[in-house]
Amino acid sequence: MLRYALGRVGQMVPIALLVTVLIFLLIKLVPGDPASAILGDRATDASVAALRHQWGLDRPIWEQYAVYMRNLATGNLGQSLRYQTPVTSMLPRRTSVTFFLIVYSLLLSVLIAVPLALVAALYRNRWPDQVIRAFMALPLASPPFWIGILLLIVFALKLRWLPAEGYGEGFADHLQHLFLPALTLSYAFASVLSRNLRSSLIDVLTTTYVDFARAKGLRGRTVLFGHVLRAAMLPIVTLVGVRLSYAIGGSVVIETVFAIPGLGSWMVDSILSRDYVVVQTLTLMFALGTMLINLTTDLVYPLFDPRVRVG
Amino acid sequence: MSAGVETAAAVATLGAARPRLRLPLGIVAGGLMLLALTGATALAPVLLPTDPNAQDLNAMLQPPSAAHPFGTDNYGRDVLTRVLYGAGIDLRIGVLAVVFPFIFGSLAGAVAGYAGGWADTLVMRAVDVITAVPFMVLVIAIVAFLGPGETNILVAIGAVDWIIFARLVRGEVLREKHLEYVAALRAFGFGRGRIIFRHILPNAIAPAVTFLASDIVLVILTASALGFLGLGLRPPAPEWGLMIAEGRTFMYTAWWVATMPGFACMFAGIGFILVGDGLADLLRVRGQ
Repeated sequence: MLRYALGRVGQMVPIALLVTVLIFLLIKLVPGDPASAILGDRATDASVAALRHQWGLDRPIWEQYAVYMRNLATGNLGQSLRYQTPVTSMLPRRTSVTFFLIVYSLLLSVLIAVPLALVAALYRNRWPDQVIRAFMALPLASPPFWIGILLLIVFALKLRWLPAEGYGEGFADHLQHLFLPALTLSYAFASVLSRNLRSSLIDVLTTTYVDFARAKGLRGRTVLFGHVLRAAMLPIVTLVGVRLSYAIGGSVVIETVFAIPGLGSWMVDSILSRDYVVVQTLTLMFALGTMLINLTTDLVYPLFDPRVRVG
Repeated sequence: MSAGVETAAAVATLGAARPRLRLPLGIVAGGLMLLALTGATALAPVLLPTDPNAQDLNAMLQPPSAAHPFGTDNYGRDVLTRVLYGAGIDLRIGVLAVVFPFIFGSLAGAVAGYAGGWADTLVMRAVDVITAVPFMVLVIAIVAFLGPGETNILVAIGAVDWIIFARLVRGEVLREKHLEYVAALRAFGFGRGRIIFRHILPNAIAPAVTFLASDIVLVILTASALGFLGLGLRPPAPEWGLMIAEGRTFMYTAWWVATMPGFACMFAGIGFILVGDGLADLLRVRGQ
């Protein structure tokens, strides 16, 4: 197990390094000179030169990368031009908001997907199954931000059941404020989850050990929750890791819809104000977060499936 | 001689039995939906002769009615007209943006899978690195640095999206290259390029072709998200995402401005998904 874990971590390191190269190179995409693009029309030659020097843009590219990596290694994630503060000063709070949103949407997805998939699998190809599948196919074809706006119009503006935007103060308040955004994110997530869980459940329902469990005289409910659901959840663990990456991407847009002060809305604000350093750092944070999640699912998977551990 | 071998190989891999030509219901239904949408878009200048950007300050934020079936927006522009012209923009981006990823990704995947060695390492490391960053985040980041606009959207999506096709085709080629017909072609002394592109790729491309429809949906949703965030097309372009963003301000008083473009997007998305699923069924039948 330890060797497996170390192997996975070892694979991740070179990719993480290449990701830093990719993100470092993003700034080179700016047409013309990034320093003058940021300072705008009113910039003097001296101020442009000063900014170029401050960022090391006047040095060879490999030296620029070395400086970038040294800064990363020492925890210097750059300075926000707009707020004139180090990125690290705002990072923890913003990260905790986005983390809350993602975990919340993950929990909601499971709460939505598991019962629906169970009903769909048990009523396979009959009308409850058809209805559930059609309803869960809709988010695949719709813009998530638009679904968010529909929920906002109905539940926040018309019915006034929930707050329309923001993050709130305190845990209960967060739960309330983030309910609609988390629900928006989880709809797309639950869609994929329920589809896969349905087919996985159908596979398990037709295995002989389920027949055996029934033949032993175990109650239907015991078989369903103790045997079938447990086995069917296995392939889902990996899927959660993959789909979380989409949820993280989706959070960038959804945070903007609901004005949530997380990493995503910060990224969009920074793009619109050409705060390139922040955009770069946040892209890196999103990438590292995704890699950590994938690593975690790979490490957690053997705990559920002993076959991987032995092999 | 060589033509005979190639034909034999082709027959052996395609399977001798020709399937019955029955189109799955999904392709028909989805195809009709897309035909209706593109038809309406093409005919929009005739059916709805007003300019999509024509303002009518006497008819601002009118609810849906006979004169304006989808209502009007805050400048009194007809939302239905804008939604239909928007279809022209969003469908164009959706189709154009997948061309490069499909071609480049499939070629890269085929070469990587067949050649192995450093070519495979190079392609797969690139795939790993791009996969490490969430799709949406990377596309947004690239557009952030390139700047907004349709060309830059196409570039950003192209730079990220090809990895899906590369992975799909590589997997198929890896399976295919150990089959006997490839060994036979090699024994007859055919060059690598000819074996990969004339023989293996046609057999390995099916999953990538099937995925095209879903990818167009993914691209349309991504492009509309960029428009929504203010990173896509510039106003007053009638792009769906941008229209939803503009309608957001009037959500409470005029729900139709933000919701109608979304329904159009969903309609197009369902059309493509149905076609894609039907295509997958069709190719699976052929595979058997």
